Amino acid sequence: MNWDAWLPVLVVASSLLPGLVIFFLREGSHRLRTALNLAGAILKLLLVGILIWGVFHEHVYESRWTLAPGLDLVLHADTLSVLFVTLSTVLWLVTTIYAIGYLENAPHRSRFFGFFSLCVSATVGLALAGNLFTFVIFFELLTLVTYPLVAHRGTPEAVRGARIYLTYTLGGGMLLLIGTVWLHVLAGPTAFVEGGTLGSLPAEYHPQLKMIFLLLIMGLGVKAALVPLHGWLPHAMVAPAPVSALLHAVAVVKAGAFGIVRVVYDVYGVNFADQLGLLTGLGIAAAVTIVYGSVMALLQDNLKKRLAYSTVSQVSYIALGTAILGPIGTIGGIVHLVHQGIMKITLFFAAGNYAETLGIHKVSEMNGVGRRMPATTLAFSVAALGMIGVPPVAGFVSKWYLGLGALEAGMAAWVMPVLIASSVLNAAYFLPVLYRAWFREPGPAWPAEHIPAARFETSATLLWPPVVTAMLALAAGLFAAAPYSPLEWATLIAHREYGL
Amino acid sequence: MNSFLLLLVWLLPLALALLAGQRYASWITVIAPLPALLAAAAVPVGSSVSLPWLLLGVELGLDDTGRVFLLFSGLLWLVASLYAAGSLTSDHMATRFRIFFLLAMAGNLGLIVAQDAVSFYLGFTLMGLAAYGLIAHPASQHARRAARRYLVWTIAGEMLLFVAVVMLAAQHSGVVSFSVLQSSPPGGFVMPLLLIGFGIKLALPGLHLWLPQAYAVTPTAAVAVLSGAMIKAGLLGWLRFLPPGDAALVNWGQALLVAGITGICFGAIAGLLQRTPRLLLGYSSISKMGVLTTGMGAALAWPEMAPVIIVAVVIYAAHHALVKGALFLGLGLVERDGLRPWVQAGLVFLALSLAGSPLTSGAFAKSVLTASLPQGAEYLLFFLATSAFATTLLMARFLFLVWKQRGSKMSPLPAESRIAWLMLLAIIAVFPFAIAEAGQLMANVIPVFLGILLSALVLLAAGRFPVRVTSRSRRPATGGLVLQCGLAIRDLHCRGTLVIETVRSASRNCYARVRRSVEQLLLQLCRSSDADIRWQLAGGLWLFIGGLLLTGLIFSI
Repeated sequence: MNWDAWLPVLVVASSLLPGLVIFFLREGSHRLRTALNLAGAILKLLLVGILIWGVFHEHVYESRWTLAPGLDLVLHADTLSVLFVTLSTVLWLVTTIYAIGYLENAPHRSRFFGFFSLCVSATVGLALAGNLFTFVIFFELLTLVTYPLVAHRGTPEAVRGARIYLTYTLGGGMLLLIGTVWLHVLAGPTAFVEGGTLGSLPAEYHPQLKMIFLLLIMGLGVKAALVPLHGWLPHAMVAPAPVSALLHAVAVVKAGAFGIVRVVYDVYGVNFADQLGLLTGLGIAAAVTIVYGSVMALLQDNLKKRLAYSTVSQVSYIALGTAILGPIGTIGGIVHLVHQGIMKITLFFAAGNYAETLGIHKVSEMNGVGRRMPATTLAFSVAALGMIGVPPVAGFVSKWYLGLGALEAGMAAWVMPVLIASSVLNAAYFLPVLYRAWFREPGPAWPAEHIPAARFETSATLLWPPVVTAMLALAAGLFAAAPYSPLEWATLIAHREYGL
Repeated sequence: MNSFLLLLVWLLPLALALLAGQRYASWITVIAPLPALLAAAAVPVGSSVSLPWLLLGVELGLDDTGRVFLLFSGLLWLVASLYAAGSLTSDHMATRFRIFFLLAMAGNLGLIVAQDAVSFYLGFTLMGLAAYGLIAHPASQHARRAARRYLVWTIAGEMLLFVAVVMLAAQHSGVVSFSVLQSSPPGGFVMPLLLIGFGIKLALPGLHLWLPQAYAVTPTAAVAVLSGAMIKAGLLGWLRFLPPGDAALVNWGQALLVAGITGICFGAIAGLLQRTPRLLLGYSSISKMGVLTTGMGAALAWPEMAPVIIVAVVIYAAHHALVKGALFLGLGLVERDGLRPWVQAGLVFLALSLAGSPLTSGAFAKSVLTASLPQGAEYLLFFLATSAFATTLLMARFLFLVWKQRGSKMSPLPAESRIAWLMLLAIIAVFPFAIAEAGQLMANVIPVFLGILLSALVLLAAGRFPVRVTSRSRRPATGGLVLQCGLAIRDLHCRGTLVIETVRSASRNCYARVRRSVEQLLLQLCRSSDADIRWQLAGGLWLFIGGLLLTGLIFSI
């Protein structure tokens, strides 16, 4: 194997190996663990940089091991996987820094960071998976390595949340596995190919293919939190803030959405899926989820729960974009994969900062918090406005392309009302938070002030990650049309998908 | 250099917003609108700069309309900044105010130089949302409610406009530059979306519900730009998004004419019923926006005359922006400083200007607008005259309310605020003479004269027949039109009874009785300080006699 074949493996290994080593470190060796974490994250970032350059210039990076005849383990870098790998890598680096600050002096840090690295390795693995079989393997691995992270605190509530999470995702994984095996029997090994491969199957298979699609989407939909399979997500918010951040922005929820994108575009092919009439069903599920999630978010007082339901709603923008036939809708869905990630991770970082610094867990406790923690609250505000779709934050670009795509596909009659309803609901549950934070007078004391205001409003490792990701969210929207922006990359993906 | 200046119109207010918390920050708001004024003065018309990597591809540029908008908006922001610079203290509240002030400024001035739909929408949204922070600034229940109402309407407007802009983009295969958008009329649903979306900002009747309360609570410097500059962004939106002179939009023009005329009448009537100067100015704005809407409707309804009418509408917008902004700043001076003679004189001048009396900017704007109207639009002249007449009444009532409300000196404003106001007054007084041709300054003689006459009559009559106000029937200072109408009718009934009784007693020609009634009236006069009797110009009387004189006015034209 040469360098081109090793690169995808190295990208996965750059977090896998440090993770495995970290398990065996003593609890007190703080410095070594931090060094390993950061070295892994930075190395991965460099490798991904090479990957981006190569894939942009149509270089092929592929590693392949044959386990059994017709059953290959394939890591392959195409435009879509590079998009997701880049997102995971950048946000992993930021989240690692945040987690180091967040878990200062907390117990079981080696266990935490070990699983944390494994979690990212699994995410990157499923991003680089070159066929459905490899994807499923990493998908199941992801479930297993996130379980300890959700349960990390060890409280009865955490254990219960983690168990619900495991039940849901293992169930979903089962459906996905059945679907995959069925498809394997029907069509042989299914590599991810731009434009899909199943369109060439004879017409008598079509009913079966529809059933398989349903199974696959339901399996993936559990992680992507499509209604009514979203039940685990609000419970899983008992996890520590960095885990919630990564879970909602990159790892689990996004893996489900990414899987849906893969199945529609690179297994079935979007035109073939449309022929089978599958896109309408997916679109309706996404629309229902978008509205339902927003309405539920409106009812929550617990800040993290509100954010969790917001994820339910926002991630379905990706599925909605997938269901819109035509390159522009595709761009909208895929670019939201990135945009939702950086905006939502900012929100969770900020929520974690409020909890860690001042003991604030509820929206109703946030009166005047903008005065005490201006930078965190500013980051929160930028991300929240982006979620509503206010220009120039990233969310606006997603909404723009989804709307434009729906119009071009002639689906505006129901997509546009959903988008507007979602924006209005987002405004209804985010703007009151901002109002409290900036305009209300703070109460006599914060619920539990852990970190006193010194040079910064909170400790530096907690402060900078949300500020940086908020700036990324702003930049992703403001420089959307610039080269190498998420939008440009999503456009590249859509063009290769539709063969433009 | 030119393109850099156009960029600075956006960038400087945004960059300065980052410094708003610094120690000597009170003056940074004054620097922020300077690039806009400089661009309006120095950048040649037709300059443009294209930034394809920014947002979805940004185009900035300056055209004739943009230059006028930039000039009056920049001027108003500058004056308001000067006014605010002196009056703000340096606590965290002031920092917050400054940030929202600068953001709203960036949005407002930025949207004027935007030459594509998305950057216009960006500026419009930035301005709309930042203005929330200005309205919600005072920490009162009242301000909170007004701001929330404003926000709900604003977001509704943003959503409609978002759909409209996306649909326009889809119609032109993703291109959003105004030069392309104006090449063909907007299809299908886009027109109503644009008319309502921008109509909310322009406070068309029915879409105005956010406006009066917002004007009542917003700090003076902010309400000056809110009522002067920001409200005009709705008009600019129409001018930018609707292709001028397209025959396909004639029916929509007719609809706008109806909306505009309704606005003129509604704003005037509702304004006369208000009991605080700020609310009155708010309804006066609704009435004046009715004039602009009528002008826009005329431009669409007579496509061949559109270029001329649009010039007139833009001039009218500039006049209204400066005068309304100055009226609010003057009112702010009264609220903080008490009613000094020179402030009173200035307010009288501004009131005359807004009413459009001869030799003021109002007369100039009115005569340009009148001259631009084509054949077949003569009936609009009547409504324009009505507007001038009604504004005269409104302004008389405004001056009366200011005089009545003149407070004790609470917290005197520093010299900067006063100088800023006087500067603006000087500009308003001089600019019509600088650009108007002979004869253009002599409009509105009859309606304004009638208005003043009627005001004097009403003032006398109200003094003659006071309303007995018990604590139970005391009217709330604020309230919607329906409530005020009901109360006005009750007032009218009350006064009507008084009138009839007086007439009856006079008809008996009994000297003793007349004398007794005079004595009684004198007695009541003396008791007025008991707060039992209120000497006030109630709306009912205004409407009653106003209707009579309006009939006279119809024949006078």
